[in-house]
Amino acid sequence: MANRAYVLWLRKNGSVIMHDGVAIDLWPFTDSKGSASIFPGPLLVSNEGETVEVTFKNNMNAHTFHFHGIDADTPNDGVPETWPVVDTYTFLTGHAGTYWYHCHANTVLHQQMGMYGPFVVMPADGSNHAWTGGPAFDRQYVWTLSEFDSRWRSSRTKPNFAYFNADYFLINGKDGFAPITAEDTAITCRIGESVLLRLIHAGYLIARVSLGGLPFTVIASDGRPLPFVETPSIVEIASGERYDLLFTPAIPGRYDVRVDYLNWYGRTVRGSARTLITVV
Amino acid sequence: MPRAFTLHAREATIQTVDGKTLYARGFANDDGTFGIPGPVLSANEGDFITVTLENETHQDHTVAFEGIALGPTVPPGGRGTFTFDAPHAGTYVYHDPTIDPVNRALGMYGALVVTPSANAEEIWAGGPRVSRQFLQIVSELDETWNVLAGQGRAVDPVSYRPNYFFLNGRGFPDSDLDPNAHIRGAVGETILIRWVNAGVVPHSLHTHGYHFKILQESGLPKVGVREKDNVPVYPLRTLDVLITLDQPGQYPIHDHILMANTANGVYPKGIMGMFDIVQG
Repeated sequence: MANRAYVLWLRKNGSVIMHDGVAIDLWPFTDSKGSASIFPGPLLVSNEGETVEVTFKNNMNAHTFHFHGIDADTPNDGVPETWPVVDTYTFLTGHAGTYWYHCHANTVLHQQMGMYGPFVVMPADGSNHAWTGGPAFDRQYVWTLSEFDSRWRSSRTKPNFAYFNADYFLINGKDGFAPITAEDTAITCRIGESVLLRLIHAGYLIARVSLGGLPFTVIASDGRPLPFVETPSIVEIASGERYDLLFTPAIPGRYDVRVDYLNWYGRTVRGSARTLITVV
Repeated sequence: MPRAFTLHAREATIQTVDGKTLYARGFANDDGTFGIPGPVLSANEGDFITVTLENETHQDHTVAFEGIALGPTVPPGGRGTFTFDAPHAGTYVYHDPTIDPVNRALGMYGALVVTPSANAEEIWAGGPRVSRQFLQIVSELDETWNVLAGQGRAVDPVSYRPNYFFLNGRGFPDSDLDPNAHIRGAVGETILIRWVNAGVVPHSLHTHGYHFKILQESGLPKVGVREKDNVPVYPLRTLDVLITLDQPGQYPIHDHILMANTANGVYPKGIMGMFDIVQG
């Protein structure tokens, strides 16, 4: 018997409008029949020790869910190469931390089409701690990082998925040269408030995240506490990884966040996404 | 103890998983057996290693043990010898840095595995013990480079755009025939995987089913051991990771830079290994 049950629907004819007005075709998820698409997909939450059931309502035997980092058993792992496609997934969430889910069928295309979303496991008591007995926080944010290659959506020529030439660079599904101001992304907090920032890399290029000079610590990665707290100025995050950042600002101001996405060939910056942390 | 290896630089052809025959360069072992990657060289800590390179190609070649030693440049038909002390127990890459990264991309690479002299179950003298060890070398090639080199034409070293991706020299499912790529084990065992990136671009390896503990990077033990499910392995670097097999089943090990899960864009024919774990 699951402690939590989620139902997700696929919207196969979705799209999002980029900063330059271009519409990018997507296959996003949503959380109830007939409702608008949500991209990245709905945030799924459970407590440590809980069993979670997630049902894919309009799967049509073409897609799966892989709960990345959860270490589900083979029938609930969502890999068509190891188990027949199913609609309902049941698994234990044994470790508090940051995870994500994505389709694992023809993943190179389906993940690029937006079939992913964040998954957060809270401590057993559901309190605002990074894990049971771990650091406390006042508020938390999830930044799902990813990119789009608009040419992979062209119907004229079949793309070769070995060549990913990203031209849009996202935080939580939004892009642009101006800082992203969406309330799930731009952070406003008071001096002395503790903020837990969960980074998830759902894209294909290595990204470098900096918080505009705001001091922060890295306390966990991939659903496990780090052996010791680290205090870098940049977090480099690769495809599939997660890092949990904690900060308690002491100085008011506007901090310019940059997420630089690096070319796979040569480590030059291919494109960036920006947002703000405002400390009052 | 003195230990001598002979590597034969050679030109040959390879078969891709989708049936192409491509010109390649690589290293054959003492017996003259050619393969990409080249032979796995095994040594003990404290060994005095002599490497002889026999150049059976039409171009200059050398061999470098990354971070350890660089051999002389050997002209066609020539022979060169160099010596070095075996480094700290761990996993290392050897490759030909001539016109870097062209010869590496064409296949001139392999791994050196150094084990403690007293106890082969230990990762290093006095270090963690494992019941089984596996070596997984990831790499790629840019087909256009192999074609140009095969015609004796120059290759522009910054034009690299890989389109075939390998685990121990093969794409999935050909790689599944390799007992180092298709890991068999039993619940309760603790195993070591040695991840080697002998390619030119980063690879972000993700394990399904289990988290792993990062013990060493390029032969250096970690001060704090991170437990993760996804980690980038940068070119010419290695990671030794420990896994406790705590559930039965079949679980992929794959690159989450998803272009590298393809062969010339076709999924899932790239970097994908498998755990195949039975109840103990």
